[in-house]
Amino acid sequence: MAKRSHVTTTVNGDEYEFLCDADQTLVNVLRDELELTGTKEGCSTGDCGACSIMLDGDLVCSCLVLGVEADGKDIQTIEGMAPSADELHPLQRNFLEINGLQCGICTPGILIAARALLERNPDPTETEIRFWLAGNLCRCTGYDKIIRSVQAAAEEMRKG
Amino acid sequence: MSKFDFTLNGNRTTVDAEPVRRLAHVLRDDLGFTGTKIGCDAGDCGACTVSVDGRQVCSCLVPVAQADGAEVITVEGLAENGKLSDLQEAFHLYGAAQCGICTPGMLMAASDLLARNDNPSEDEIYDALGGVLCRCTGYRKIVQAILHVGDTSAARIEEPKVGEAVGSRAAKLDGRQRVDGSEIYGADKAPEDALWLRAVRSPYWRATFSLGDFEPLKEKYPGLVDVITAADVPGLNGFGVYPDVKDQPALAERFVRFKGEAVVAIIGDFEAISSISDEELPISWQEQEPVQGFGPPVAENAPQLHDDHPGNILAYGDVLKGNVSEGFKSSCAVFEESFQTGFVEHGYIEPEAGWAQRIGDRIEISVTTQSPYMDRDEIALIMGLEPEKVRIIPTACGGGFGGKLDLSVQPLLAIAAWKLNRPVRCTYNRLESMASTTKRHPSKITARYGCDQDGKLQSYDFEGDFNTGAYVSWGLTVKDRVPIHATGPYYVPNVKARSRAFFANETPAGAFRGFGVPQAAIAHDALMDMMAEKVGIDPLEFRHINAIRKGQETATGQKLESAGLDQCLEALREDWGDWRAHAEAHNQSATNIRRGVGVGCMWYGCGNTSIANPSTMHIGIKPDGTVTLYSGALDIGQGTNTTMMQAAADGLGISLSELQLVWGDTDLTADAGKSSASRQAYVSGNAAKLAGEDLRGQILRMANVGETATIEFGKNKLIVHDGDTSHEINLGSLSALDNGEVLRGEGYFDPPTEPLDENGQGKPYGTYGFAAQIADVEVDLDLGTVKVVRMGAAHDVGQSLNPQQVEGQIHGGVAQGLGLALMEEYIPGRTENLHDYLIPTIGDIPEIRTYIIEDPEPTGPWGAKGIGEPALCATAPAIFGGIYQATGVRVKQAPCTPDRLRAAILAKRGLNGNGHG
Ligand code: FES
Ligand code: FES
Ligand code: FES
Ligand code: FES
Repeated sequence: MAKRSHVTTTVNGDEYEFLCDADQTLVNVLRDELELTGTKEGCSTGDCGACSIMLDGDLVCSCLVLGVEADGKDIQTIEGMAPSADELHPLQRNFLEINGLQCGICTPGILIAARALLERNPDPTETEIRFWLAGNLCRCTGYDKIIRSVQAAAEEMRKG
Repeated sequence: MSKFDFTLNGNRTTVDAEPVRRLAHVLRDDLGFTGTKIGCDAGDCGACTVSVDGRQVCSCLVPVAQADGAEVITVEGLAENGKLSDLQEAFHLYGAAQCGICTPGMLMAASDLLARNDNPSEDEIYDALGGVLCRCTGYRKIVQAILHVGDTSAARIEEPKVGEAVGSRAAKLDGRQRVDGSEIYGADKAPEDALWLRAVRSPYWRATFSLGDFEPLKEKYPGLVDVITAADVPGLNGFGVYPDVKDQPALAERFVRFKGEAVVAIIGDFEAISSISDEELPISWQEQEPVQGFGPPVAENAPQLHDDHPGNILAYGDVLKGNVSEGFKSSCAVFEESFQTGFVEHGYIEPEAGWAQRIGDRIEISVTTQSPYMDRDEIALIMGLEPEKVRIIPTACGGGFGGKLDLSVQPLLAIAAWKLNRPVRCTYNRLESMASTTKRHPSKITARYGCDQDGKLQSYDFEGDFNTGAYVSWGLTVKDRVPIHATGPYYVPNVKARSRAFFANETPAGAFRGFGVPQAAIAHDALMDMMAEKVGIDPLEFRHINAIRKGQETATGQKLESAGLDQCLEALREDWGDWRAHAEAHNQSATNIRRGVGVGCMWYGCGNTSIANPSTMHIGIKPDGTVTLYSGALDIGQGTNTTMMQAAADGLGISLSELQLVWGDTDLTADAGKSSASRQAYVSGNAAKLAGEDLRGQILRMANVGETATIEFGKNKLIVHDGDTSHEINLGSLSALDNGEVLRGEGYFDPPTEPLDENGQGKPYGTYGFAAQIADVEVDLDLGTVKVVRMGAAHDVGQSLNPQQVEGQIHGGVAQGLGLALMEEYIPGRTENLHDYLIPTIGDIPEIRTYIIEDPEPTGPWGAKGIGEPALCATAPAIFGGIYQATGVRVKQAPCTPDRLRAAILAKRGLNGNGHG
């Protein structure tokens, strides 16, 4: 029986410690060990982007990252996106207002990816948004309202 | 850190490591098992394949924690007590290892297969080895080796008798170390205390930049020892392959011309240099609009990349013979078409790597390279040192194909090791290897060919544009080679060929197997097919009619003394007829899977174009009787170490097994020129032969005997037998030369060439290799996919020095040609890895029937000419000819990817590209 590794990380600003197997993925740890189920697992093979999170500032598919790789790193998931219990992030609000989601299973991943884009490029063109979100699949919306939502949020955020 | 225990090749092993540290790195760096290679570190190439609990895995993807408690086997665990396993022996004798960098992974994948299935079919081999890439062999000999484990007779390996080494199927003399994991490549070894170096590269295609203060970074990362910049270059901050063109900086100064250009290098412990992100460096960038592609760089008022090249034009190359407009007047079939090809990546499995150390006032560099003396001279300029103060000690080279002719890690290592006076090592990762090193030139060609009603070629008018990227690299060679070879290997009375090389803010394009000739071949052979069809002559016969023959003059007015293209075509004639008929019959009843057979021809001038490119070799005898060949001709997998030994052995009259080899080291061997331009067999083969003959002559003169005498090489003595009499030469009694040897023979050969005049007339090469290939392809009309089902390849090599090696070159060249034809296109900035950039896998390469034609070259050693480049150039035209028979589509753009072919098939039916209507 292989050893379980002891891992310390920060998730959405809070310190966490957990034990995990050498082949346990980070999405698995987040969902099953830490009970942060906002992050979704759609394929487990890096194809759908539902599991997108930020790891030390990089946008990654958490199904392709091992739990042990999170040791000493900073993680941000969808649960940390809203500034407070009764206030949403502009991206979240615009997704709601513009109908950027239907079933919502892809939404956490898309929101995390979209925020990573706007942090880098506050004024993206539609093409840039489409390229950036190309790693996130959505089967419901046809993407159009996702793009509008991101554009609206970007504009709002630029105005401050 | 945690402790992990596993069994490694049968021995209990414990390591302390981070749980996520990859097994490949633990094996190589922590445990010293460097037989396992790292080609991509990303699960794409399979070079790192090992066995974990009986299953093949990519060890670069396996965290060491997952190996805890497991049984791990690496290539080092295959041989028992120094005896190769049957599988290794088969790989060795069937020539399944050329450069050998993929071999450990191949062997482990094959072991996995054989453990499950001791009698696999070819298809089962394809499945099991599908994850391991090889860029040298074209996989055919790997398949043969696996099919013949335990029975190596079919490899027909010989141990040649004295005087019969040349032409024999002698096994690779350095083959064993390539199958047992002991061969040392660029990344495999460096002193314990070596610092690591990482180049920081431009993220922009065109930008200016300024550097800030690096001190805070050093404070933040104590493991960071130093940062070197352009200011640290002791001599000239420029390199380039031509003696008078040094336009590429070792480290950029103030501005960059392509994304991937080295800007600074950080040096320190491995942890530190790999954890520093590029963004942390104090470099402020001002990005500028780049000029890229075919139009913009040569447009009026385009920003200029190099001050001394107005309009971004590097140079024009011209060949003019006869009168083309008259020629077209006497033609009855005239076709004009435009063709396009993209960047192509060499895709050697070994990324650039090496290490350097300063020894007093000298610098020594161990590095994977194709050209030690060129490296030496270039480093001398950069370091401001005399060339003799620089020593290049080549490691084994895990594939080159032209890509390891230009400098890569060498200048950075030299500058750092010199400044810090400590050994410094560097291994490129796959991404920077692909982003920063040279590619095949993208081309845009418009050409017009005409023949009379008998099918005799009358006139050829060719214009070709070649994108040389940000720096000159081998751009001047391409612009020269292309017009010389533009017509293809045919006799054409009237020729006008012009090439133009231009700069763009893109990855530099340099030398890649063929220097522009493969691109030109796509154009000339498509036109050949069109003319043949118009005048109603079979495509192969049409080429046979026009094949340039001995005694005829090329477009540059050179009279050929060896030209075996007609014989190549004759060798293929029978298969051609059968395969064409089979395809036609198949297509009668076929629905959407069509067959087609095409033929392509090529020629290739061996050696550098119209300049001296000599080779010098030595053979020495020590007082104890040891006989050694000193060869500077680098073996990059093609087998030069073996063929040079064969040539030298027969020149001297010694058996192969009695001759030792010292290779590559610039302190120990003379300049044999670079391993490129298909020149080593021809040029250095001559030098090795002459060195042997020179030494033999000296010995015969000492014994005062005639030419027919034989020499017996004994311990401390030589015995010269002449008829019934014998003369003994006591080696100890001879006075020693300064290297301790008592006898030394030298061979020197420079191919007879003449400069070209302003019309490109002259004798650019000593000789030319010729080839014809046929390809039988299957096209899925619905998907646009092409599968090559079988190939025939006939090559005139003058005289084969070693048929086993020649076949290996043909297979590997065909595989690369197939890649060029169907899948390979490097898109700068986008396909910098081996999952987005596709190269053929084992399942892509069909049976290849090889025919070795020997039309001897009078100036070649025993008549030999080169084979390296000829192997590739005819493949794409042959495949495209097959696609035409299958679909009626003339391919004008390489690669012919499924989307492009599908669109062309629909366009031909008068439909738009979306498949409806
Ligand atoms: S679950 Fe990770 S990409 Fe689909
Ligand atoms: S909203 Fe359902 S998958 Fe995107
Ligand atoms: S190094 Fe592991 S797959 Fe390439
Ligand atoms: S022998 Fe396979 S990559 Fe060189």
